[in-house]
Amino acid sequence: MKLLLKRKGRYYTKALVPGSVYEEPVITISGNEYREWSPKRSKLGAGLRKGVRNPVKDSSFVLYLGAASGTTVSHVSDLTPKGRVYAVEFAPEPMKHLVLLAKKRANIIPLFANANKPGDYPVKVEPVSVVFQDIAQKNQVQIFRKNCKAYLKKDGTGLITVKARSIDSTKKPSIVFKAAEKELRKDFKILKQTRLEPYEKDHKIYVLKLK
Amino acid sequence: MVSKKTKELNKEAIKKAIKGVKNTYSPDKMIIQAVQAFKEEEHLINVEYERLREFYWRYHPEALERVDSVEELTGMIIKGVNRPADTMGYGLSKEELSLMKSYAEGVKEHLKVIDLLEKFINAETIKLAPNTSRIATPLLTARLIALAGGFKELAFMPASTIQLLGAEKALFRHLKRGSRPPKHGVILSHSSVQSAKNKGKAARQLANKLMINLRKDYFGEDG
Repeated sequence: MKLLLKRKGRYYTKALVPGSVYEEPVITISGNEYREWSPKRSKLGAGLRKGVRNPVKDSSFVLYLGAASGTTVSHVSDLTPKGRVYAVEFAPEPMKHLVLLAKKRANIIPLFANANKPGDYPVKVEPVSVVFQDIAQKNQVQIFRKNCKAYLKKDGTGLITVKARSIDSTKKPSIVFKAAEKELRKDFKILKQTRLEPYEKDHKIYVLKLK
Repeated sequence: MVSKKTKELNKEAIKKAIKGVKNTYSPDKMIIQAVQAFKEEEHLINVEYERLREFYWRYHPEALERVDSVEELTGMIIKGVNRPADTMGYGLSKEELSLMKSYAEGVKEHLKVIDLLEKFINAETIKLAPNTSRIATPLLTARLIALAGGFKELAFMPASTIQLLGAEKALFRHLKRGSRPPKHGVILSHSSVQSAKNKGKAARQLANKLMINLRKDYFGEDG
């Protein structure tokens, strides 16, 4: 049974727990529920639509930075029923949503912590095969590098969505992306990169491997 | 399917997350909610006041000439006032009149709520930031806290940022397209800025004083 499905250009993940999470449509295929992965609500969902390949396997350990209310996390949790998702979020109100989600989905490990300090996570984080980050901070690339250094396995995949407007709202996005790439290249090979238009404005997603 | 070890870790992490989240309480969180609610109630009452005038205009237009506040109008409708014999108003049915009265009672409830919100904001903000509240009024202080996203966030801001809180749209228009920079944000509602001839100068001076007093309030007088 496939965990990720593509139908008429839309992506679906096999629901680990029945029912919709953020009011996304659910379809049933031979007795199994599949939840539609919205490209408008989820940047990883948008990335898939733009040709990024799903890096999460059924037993992957994933470190997810900037989990927010758990929209994307819920799909990642679907994709790794035998693995786990460490979901880091620093804002208390979204964290409450995430805790409610984790109560229903046992493979989500909610970490109420600052991603700036990967050494201070409240539970021990084991090496992971995927790091995904979606954080709207000025030093987002730095945060990503620190976390990958601490937790990403040598052959693991890193994914980061860079939000040009939160790095510098006055510079042209293309200039901001160039600077971000230069910093990423210090540790990574860039396997794929794509803008997230039309789903997100001035965002780019990068797929990376450690050097 | 989820492994036992993962399940245990999930339970442990949830416990810690709940504890961590609970510990982030601070009084400014509820002040911010109250400020937002106040703003929304203010808007709602305005809209409802207009509707209520339209309602009453059908029944007793002559009386509206002298009415210029919601409190007055709701009181009048709920109590009921005699109309002159030569009124232009329609002879409304019992159902129509009772509908109007119910609507007025709803508006009156909103007036009660906004009054409570204002009292709450005043009392809590004075407790949290006494020095700043004395200079800026508690309501303006609370609005600044809401715009900054928290008391701590506001206390760490430079005066120049405080000066422009609430003028973000104009500021970014300036930064991106080079239009003329804004001189003040919500600070404009302060009487010293309102009455000043040179509003930019007054806003800058007020923001400076606010910044000093915010730090006093946040770190303590001897801090």
